[in-house]
Amino acid sequence: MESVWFWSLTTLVVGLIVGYLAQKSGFCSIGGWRDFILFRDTHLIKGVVGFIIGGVVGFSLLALLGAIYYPSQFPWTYFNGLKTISGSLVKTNNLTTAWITAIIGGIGVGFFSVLSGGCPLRNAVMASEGNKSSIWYLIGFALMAPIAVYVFYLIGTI
Amino acid sequence: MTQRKPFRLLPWQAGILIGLVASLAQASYYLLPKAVQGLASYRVAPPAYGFCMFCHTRDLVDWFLQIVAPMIAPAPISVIAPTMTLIGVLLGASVAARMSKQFVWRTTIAPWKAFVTGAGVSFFAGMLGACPLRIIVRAGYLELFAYVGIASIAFGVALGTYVYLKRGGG
Repeated sequence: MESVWFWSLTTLVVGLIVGYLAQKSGFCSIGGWRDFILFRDTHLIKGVVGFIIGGVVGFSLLALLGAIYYPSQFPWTYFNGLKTISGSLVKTNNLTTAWITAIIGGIGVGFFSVLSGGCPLRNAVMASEGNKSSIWYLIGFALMAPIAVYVFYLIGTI
Repeated sequence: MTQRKPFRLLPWQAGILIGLVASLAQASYYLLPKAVQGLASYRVAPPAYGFCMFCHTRDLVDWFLQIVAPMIAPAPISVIAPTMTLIGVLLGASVAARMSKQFVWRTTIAPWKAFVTGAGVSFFAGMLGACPLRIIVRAGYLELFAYVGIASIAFGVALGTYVYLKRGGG
């Protein structure tokens, strides 16, 4: 815990647990929407609802224990209004830009994800099951990440 | 030896467990040594950053790239140490798949298609600021824009399904 590599170890362990659970259940956040839209099948989308519930419960627990590093920020919209959590490569304080970014980004993510057969987590799980298509997906995914950062750096939005 | 029923989870059970793990991972920032490069823990990472396929993959790649391309800035935490989420998921799923003997090499007919869709997801995830997983973690953090993002993802899925069906399942 004294080392800075503590964070690497944490993400590794979290990844191990999540990967194991996802492989055992076939959890997919995109597949849930796809099955619901195509067949009105709610088998997978219950996983997404469960994820949200688990997240709310977990963050509430952390806020109660005071183990969240910004305790006063837990119900984010309650404390910060219509400010987005940082992470987007289009950094802005303008509300209209935030809406446009969220909508275009979301539509793009959904469109390409459903063509590739699942969300990034599902593709990583399928790659571990030996699906060569998913391995190519992950290579494209990992290579594009710094390129996307660089593109937005050139545009000047970071 | 009697034939045991293979251990499976339903998606909603796994969803709740994954949500708990992903949100509780946020506490690890709090546990970090406060003196990490003189930064306070709330400066080191954004909120709801416990689990993300895109952000952590980007940070991992950037961690390796930061010597050659220092202008590509990941979240400050990843400059200090790389995030291993993708590697963890691959290892965990491999263990699960091999234990239940579900590991089979499946060949592909269109690797470039998977490559392009992966790159597209990565690019737009950067724009959204979250992959479909982190947007759900953010929704658990009760952020309004996460729900906008989830609705847009649902719309994008509908659009993609429509295009896929229109092209005859190609």
